[in-house]
Amino acid sequence: MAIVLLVIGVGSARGQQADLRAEVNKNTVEEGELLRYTITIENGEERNLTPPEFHDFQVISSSRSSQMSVQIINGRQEIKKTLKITYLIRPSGIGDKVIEAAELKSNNGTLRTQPIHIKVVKSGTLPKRKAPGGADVGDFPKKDIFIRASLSKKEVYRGEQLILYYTLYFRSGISNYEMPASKLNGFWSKEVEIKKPEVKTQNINGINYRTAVVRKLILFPQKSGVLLIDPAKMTVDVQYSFFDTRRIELTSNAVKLKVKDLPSGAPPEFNGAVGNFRIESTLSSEKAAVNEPLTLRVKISGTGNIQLIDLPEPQLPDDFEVYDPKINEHISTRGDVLSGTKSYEYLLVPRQRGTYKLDSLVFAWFDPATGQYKKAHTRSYEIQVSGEAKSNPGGKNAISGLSKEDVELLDQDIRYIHTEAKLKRSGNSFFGSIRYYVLMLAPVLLFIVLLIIRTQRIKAAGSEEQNRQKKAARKALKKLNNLAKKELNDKDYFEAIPNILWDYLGERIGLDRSEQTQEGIRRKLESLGVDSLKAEELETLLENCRAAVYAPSEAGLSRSEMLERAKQWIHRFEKELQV
Amino acid sequence: MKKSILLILVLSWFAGSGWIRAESPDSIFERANAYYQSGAFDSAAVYYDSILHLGYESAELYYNSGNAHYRLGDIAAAIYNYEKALKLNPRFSDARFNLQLARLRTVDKMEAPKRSVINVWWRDFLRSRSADQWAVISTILIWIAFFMALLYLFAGKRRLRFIAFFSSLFFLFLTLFVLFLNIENYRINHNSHEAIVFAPNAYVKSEPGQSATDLFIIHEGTKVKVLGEAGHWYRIQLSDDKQGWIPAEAVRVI
Repeated sequence: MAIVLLVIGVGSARGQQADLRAEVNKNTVEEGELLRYTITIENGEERNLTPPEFHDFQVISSSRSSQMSVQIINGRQEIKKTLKITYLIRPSGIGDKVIEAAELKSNNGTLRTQPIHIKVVKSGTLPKRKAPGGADVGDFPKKDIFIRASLSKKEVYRGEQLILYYTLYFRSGISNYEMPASKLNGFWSKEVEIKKPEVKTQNINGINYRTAVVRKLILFPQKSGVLLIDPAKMTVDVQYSFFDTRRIELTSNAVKLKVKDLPSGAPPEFNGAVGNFRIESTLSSEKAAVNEPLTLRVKISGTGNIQLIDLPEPQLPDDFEVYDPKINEHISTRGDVLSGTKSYEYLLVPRQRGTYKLDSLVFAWFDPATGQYKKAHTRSYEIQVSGEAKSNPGGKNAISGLSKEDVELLDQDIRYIHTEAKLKRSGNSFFGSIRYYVLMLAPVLLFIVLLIIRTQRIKAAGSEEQNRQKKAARKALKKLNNLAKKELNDKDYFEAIPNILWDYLGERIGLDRSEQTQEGIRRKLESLGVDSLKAEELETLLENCRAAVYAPSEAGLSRSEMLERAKQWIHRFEKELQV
Repeated sequence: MKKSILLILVLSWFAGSGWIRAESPDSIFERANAYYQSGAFDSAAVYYDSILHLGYESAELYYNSGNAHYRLGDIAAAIYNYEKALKLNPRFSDARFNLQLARLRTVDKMEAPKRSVINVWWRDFLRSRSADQWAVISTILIWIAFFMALLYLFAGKRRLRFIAFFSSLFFLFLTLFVLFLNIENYRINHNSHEAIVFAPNAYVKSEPGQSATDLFIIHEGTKVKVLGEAGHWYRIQLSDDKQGWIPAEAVRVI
């Protein structure tokens, strides 16, 4: 398929502005070889054209083709007329020949083309073309057709977009070309589709080349440092004549790119977006009922690596169910710039009533044009959720986080009211009240008072006892003395002494009548801590008295002696008790 | 809600003017019970609350009011009233049961962090009776101890006195122990205020102030512990130990 090489004048879009250009299909020809000379008139009339005088050339034929296009720009209609006059000419003689300038009269004055120099060489000097079918590729003059890779920028930030051009330079007709996608290390790329390559003329070292950008890529470097773009390969079908088409393979040059790292100080929200962006959000409604879904749309638009960025997640309380967002992406490479929009559509379902905040979303990016980080945020919302949340729609298992006991309670109803109540003035608590203190302290105080009374009484009773004890000895001694004065027979006398002693012991140490035995006395005295000798002495004394009652003469002791012994025993016993 | 506030205002105005004073709180209570029985829960709730406004309270009153609010679907108020009833009478099993039912209908289901068994048992024991109930127990005990002491002092028989002495001592120690429980119970109840969330939902903040960071959300009916306050903000703690600040108007202290 032959590609129509169209030449569209630069600035042709500017209304009725006339333009004039002239070009040749080759700058070097062999003697006798034909070449084409084309004059392009835009928005001009042929009658105003003065074609050059072909002094050194013989005009074989001339042809015309005209084209009219209507363009609507900003609502304004513009009509562009293009007229092409092609002369087929043959140079006469060898050497440098010149095609003089063509002139065109227009509203803006006279337009003039540049004179074109043609080099005419001897026949056979130029490399001969092989016959059709010959697969020899190597001998094709490389300089007549080559491909160049070039970049729109020499130094970029990481993530900043730039364009990689592959430009084909050629001098012969091209019928077809093919360029497989090459791998680019360290880049994320987006191909810009070229529907019709635009052909331009460029003079390199005195040779006029036709050039066409055959491949265009928008690159986003993903690494910092010096990145190398490897040479790319291309196959081209070159058409020398109608019957002579050859396929050749071309390799481009390698290009280097310096990628700068992003400056420090990135905001926390930054997640790699480089370019220039805008963020906006819309919420379907700020009022909803429980279980009524809301839609939150968040849209980021702008130029840059929009396909690589992620939207900040909206933060919603657990009372909302947030479904996975529906993501829409519209990307455009118009104007060789990657731009577009990315929108997220969240479905939010409120599950509880209340007032909830939907915080604004912050989006941060790096703007390579200013070399600064920028931030933008959506507006925040306050969502009013009304209605009743259905907590247990019949099913027991619908509720989570319940204990076994709770589940059993689900079927039950509250218990009935109490119809009896003792209403009290509120704030009148018993604890801490005067009544409480009185009730608590009264037994303590009462006890203390009673204790005091009782102790005193015991004390009084105690002293009485002591007196009695003290008096006991005196009383006993007195009784013994009185005994001596009394006129008594021996029997009565000796019976009286033990009785006096028993009475004394009864009063002095509380000896009971039941204890008036040998054992009883001994135990009693022992309990008082009195020497056991005293008990033995008493026993002897009592024994002697008893013996004297029945046989006074056998006792061996006179009445007075017995009395004296008893008195002495009491004295000694008192002494012993006092110790 | 607005209607009930109006009614309370009117009722308290009547109370102030002496018009309703003729009607004793007990008869209002009976009337409220009648409304409840007839299914007019909104009127019942208003009358129950009006008794509280008159300055009277009882565990049963709070319980009945809780029931009326429960029937009206006002779970926060129901929980508040049941809690109040249990505060006056911790052994009010009906209130405890209804509170449990009301809690099922709240949103926040928090699991209390595991505490030692003894700790839990001790606190439950302390709270098994109200301060007043403990106070009654301690007064009864101290009087028993007193009578035992009297027996000790004035009994004739030695054996009886012996028994009386030790039982008096025993009851005295028991009194002191209950008194200690009483004071502990009072201390716990008065140093740790609890509150019920009344707002449908509330954002708990990291600091007092609207602009502070949101920590989490709590919903109506949730019981929180009030740890402190600053301006119109309460510092609260949830049963799972989470803490934060909440506007005072979002909750009502029990």
